[in-house]
Amino acid sequence: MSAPLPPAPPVGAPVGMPAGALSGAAPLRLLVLLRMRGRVRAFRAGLRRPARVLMLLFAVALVAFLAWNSPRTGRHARDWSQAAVLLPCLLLAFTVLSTWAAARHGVIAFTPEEVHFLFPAPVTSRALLLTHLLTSAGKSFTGGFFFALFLRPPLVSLPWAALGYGGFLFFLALLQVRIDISCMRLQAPARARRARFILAFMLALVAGSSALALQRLGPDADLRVLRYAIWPLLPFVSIICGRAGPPEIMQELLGASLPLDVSILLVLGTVTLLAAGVLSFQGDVREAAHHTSVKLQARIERIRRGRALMDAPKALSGGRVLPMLPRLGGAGVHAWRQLTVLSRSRKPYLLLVVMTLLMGVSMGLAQRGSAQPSALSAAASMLAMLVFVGPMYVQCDFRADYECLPWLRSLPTPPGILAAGQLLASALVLYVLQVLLTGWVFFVLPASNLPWLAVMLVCLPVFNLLQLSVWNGFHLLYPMRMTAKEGSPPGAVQVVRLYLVVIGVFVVLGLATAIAAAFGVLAWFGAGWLGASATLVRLLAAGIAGFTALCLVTAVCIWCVGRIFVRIDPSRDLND
Amino acid sequence: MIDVRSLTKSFDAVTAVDHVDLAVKPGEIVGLVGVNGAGKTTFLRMLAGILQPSEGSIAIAGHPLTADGVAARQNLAFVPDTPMLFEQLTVWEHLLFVCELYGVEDRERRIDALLGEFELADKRHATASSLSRGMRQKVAICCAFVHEPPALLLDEPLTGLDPVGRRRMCDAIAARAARGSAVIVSSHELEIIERLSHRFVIIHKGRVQLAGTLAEVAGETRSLEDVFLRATDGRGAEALRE
Repeated sequence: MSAPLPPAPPVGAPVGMPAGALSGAAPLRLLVLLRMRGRVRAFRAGLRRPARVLMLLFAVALVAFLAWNSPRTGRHARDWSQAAVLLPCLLLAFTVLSTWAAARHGVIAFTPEEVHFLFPAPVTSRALLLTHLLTSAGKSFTGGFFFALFLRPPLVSLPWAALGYGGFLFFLALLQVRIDISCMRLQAPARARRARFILAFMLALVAGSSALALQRLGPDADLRVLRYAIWPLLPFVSIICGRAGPPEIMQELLGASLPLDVSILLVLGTVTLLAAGVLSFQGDVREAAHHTSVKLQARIERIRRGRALMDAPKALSGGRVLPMLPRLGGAGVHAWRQLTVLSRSRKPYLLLVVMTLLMGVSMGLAQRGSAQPSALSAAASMLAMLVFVGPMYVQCDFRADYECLPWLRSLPTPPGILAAGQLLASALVLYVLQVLLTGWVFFVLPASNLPWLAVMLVCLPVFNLLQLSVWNGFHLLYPMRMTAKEGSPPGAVQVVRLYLVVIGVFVVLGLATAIAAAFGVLAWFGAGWLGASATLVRLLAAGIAGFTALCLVTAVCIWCVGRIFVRIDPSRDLND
Repeated sequence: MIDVRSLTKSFDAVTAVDHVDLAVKPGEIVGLVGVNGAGKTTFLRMLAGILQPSEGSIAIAGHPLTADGVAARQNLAFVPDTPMLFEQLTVWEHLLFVCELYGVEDRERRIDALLGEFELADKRHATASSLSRGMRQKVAICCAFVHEPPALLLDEPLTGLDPVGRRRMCDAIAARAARGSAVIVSSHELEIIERLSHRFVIIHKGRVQLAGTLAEVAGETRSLEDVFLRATDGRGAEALRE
């Protein structure tokens, strides 16, 4: 014993704290203050690093640009009026998904350290709920600000839009908590059943109202089809649109408009009622919150490991084993391992397909009435989504293996070949999805464009590999690992870092494509200089040269990824 | 001080803890041992009020945990198997927060004494993110000790500590028991548990396989490790007593 212990109080004596309904709320306020002070301290410490200062400047510039580049001009207003239909649809989709998620997975979650300190402490359940609601309010209004930066209607000031989006997100958070409370006494299978019932009910509501709208509004109803379903969200839309009011196309869609002050009163009343409903709960939320927190932590851990949106691994694989691929110098083994992981996770790909379809439908709706056929623009949007967003989304490569890098480095596989093997699985899966989509595009594309589709099908596997190699190279150089220590989603630093990396990736992709295009142009003129007069021959020569150049650039990029892989130090702290 | 009666916890079809009875007197240290997945952590989490029992009752210092949760929790401290700290808070701020949480009055003196006892005085202003695993464990233990709880629940408190740290931790636990705290400590370190505890509870598949002092459960000649291995090898306590 190195120091004398303080005299102990009488055993069992109450230390003195009133056991009121909100007992423990005062220490929670202290905790909030201490954590804020800690964040300020960490922020100030971070400012000593030049990289952090540059990132901060970039973030400030980005926010300033988005805030000042308000959609006031005629061009912006026109763009917005085309996309105005998306806003109510977005809010509706958010509501349906949030309601289902609250019933299925629960939302009252705390960080592991909050569970450690607060759950065994003399803190009432109501104080815990209040803490959760206040945290949700902070997150909702911060999220509302970011929503407002990107999705602000024309001629609307930033504060109104932020208030509207923030209010909507907080309303959703309260609704989710109320639903979670109503489901928390259920065992897992019963809870899953209730979640399915709620989802089915909400989808039926949307479908029913759509059918009703179609029936009443006749053939001209394609824009107004969601009117009844989104009507309950009208007050939020009115606040988001501020004093300027909803754009004409949105008014047409909504079929009604609410005065701003009435909307504010309605939202305030709803939020107050929901909050009162939540805080009047008498039972103990600890156990359910503990389960939700553990699940959330596991999800964050999967994100940190690069397996964003992947299913939780099942206890048993069902005995299915993928056939081993050809060895290919060692690349086949790595591709087989990654494909095995991919084959046991269906949900993210289903989600990718749903996102792609939603993108297509939305763009089709938004392009309605324009000169371009909406089916074609929908198809083009979906294909662009799969080509450019797919490689960001499908991450079964180095991005999912960050913690195995020392082990991977110890294997007797040359780094370039290992890199190729790592990238192959994601490239293959993406290509399969793209081919499936192209099959649909085939029917909507005019026949004259079909050769371009064929060329695209040939080039896509190489382009996928090129994109994946660039993403992986940037990931190995500037990893986007998310901090799981705090058990929270990524913060502003990670978001800004992601922005910078996305810009970097597109610069490199642009350069690689330009090199391939330059070779194609050279071949075009070279073929002409050699005496080939037929356009088809020159086109063929340009295509072959461009494609070969693209293959070479991709091979070089993969080799570079291999070199980066053997040079980086995985033990460094990546959270700064 | 800790009174557990017929405590049961079921998750869907799985019974993690099955009708466990246990009473821990003030000043007593009970060692809770069992194989991985035996139900030790679930049992301790129920005692800490994090999980709700499916059946049975828990009373801490005479306060039933379900009916009078705040008063019961006021009298206990729980240290989980992995020390979870607020990354941006310093060691001092952690202890200050816990003092506020439990309404401790002479907080400066208690915090200083604990930091000295666990050799954390020079880490007073270090944030949790800068601490090693062992240091974090010490901070978590300090947070549990700072309000001098009558009931202490320690889940694997020796994990991550070096031999010196383990010895100090055992001494600190024994000192708290000597002052009248009832302690339940779970660990896989059977030799240390054998030296530290007054009584043992061997839990297997959610049920209490054996309970009592070492002499009661195994006679004078056998060690806790022998008893544990026999009790958990599938033949059960009856085979052990033969």
